[in-house]
Amino acid sequence: MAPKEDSIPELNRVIHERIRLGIMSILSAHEAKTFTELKELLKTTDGNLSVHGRILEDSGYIKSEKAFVDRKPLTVFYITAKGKKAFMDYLVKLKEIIRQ
Amino acid sequence: MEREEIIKNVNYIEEVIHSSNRYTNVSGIAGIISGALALIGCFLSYSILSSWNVMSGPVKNEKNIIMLIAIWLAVFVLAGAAQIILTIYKARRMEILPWTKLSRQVIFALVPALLAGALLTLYLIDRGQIEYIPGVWILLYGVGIAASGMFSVIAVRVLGWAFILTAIIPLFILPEYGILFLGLTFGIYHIIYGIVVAVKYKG
Repeated sequence: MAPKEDSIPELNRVIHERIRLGIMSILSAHEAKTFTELKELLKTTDGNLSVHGRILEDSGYIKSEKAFVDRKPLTVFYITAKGKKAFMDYLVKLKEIIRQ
Repeated sequence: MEREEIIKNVNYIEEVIHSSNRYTNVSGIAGIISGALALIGCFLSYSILSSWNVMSGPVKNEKNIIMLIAIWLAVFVLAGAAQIILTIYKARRMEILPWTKLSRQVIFALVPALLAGALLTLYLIDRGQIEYIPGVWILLYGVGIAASGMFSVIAVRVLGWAFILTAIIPLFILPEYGILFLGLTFGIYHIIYGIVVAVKYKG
């Protein structure tokens, strides 16, 4: 999966990972998704999603909040403006590489 | 090689977004309850008319017409309430948000067809052709559900099309037995749909 670092140097390494790419794709298409929903859509585990979610949060690309559905607390993820821009830039880079 | 990997990534983005664009929080239990309410409405209608044939009894009796409309309005309101409550309950259980852009699309796709049904009902009452009211509702509810289904799972689209196709009979062949077809579609079809959804989508 991981390509040679120097072969495509301009790709954003934070986004260029399968689970993180999945999270960014879904959150760029929806206003919000819960932890459980992301886990099921990406067919991954609690641990895996937590780790990759944290990396994206630390980069300021997404943020998480507690929401309440009928008084039950749920972790909800949103994309930030910075994250949206980073994801769009990433897509532009992908297009450039394909065109080469 | 690198190019292939990029293409794989693009396909993955597309696939993930596509699967996240389906509304899957459908409540089978609400479908079964709606069906049961429609069957009750069907038998109450029969008890008022003392016949399945709306043209046989005192069809021009204004009181009967008002009673029939009240019964089916109550069925609609109770079924709608069951739908809302059970959808929120299911969202809570499945740990998802009940009110999102996707759920709004599912609801608003249904609205134009329901408004058209209400307008045509008034038109048919005005023209004294009340026997066509059930067929109109079966058709337009089907249209609304088929439209909603574009944002949701296949069971919803199948339900919508089953209504649309069935509507042909009460509209063109047996309008005077419309209430029986209300029972078949809003009753039996909803119950079958509800069971399928409950089994396939965990409730």
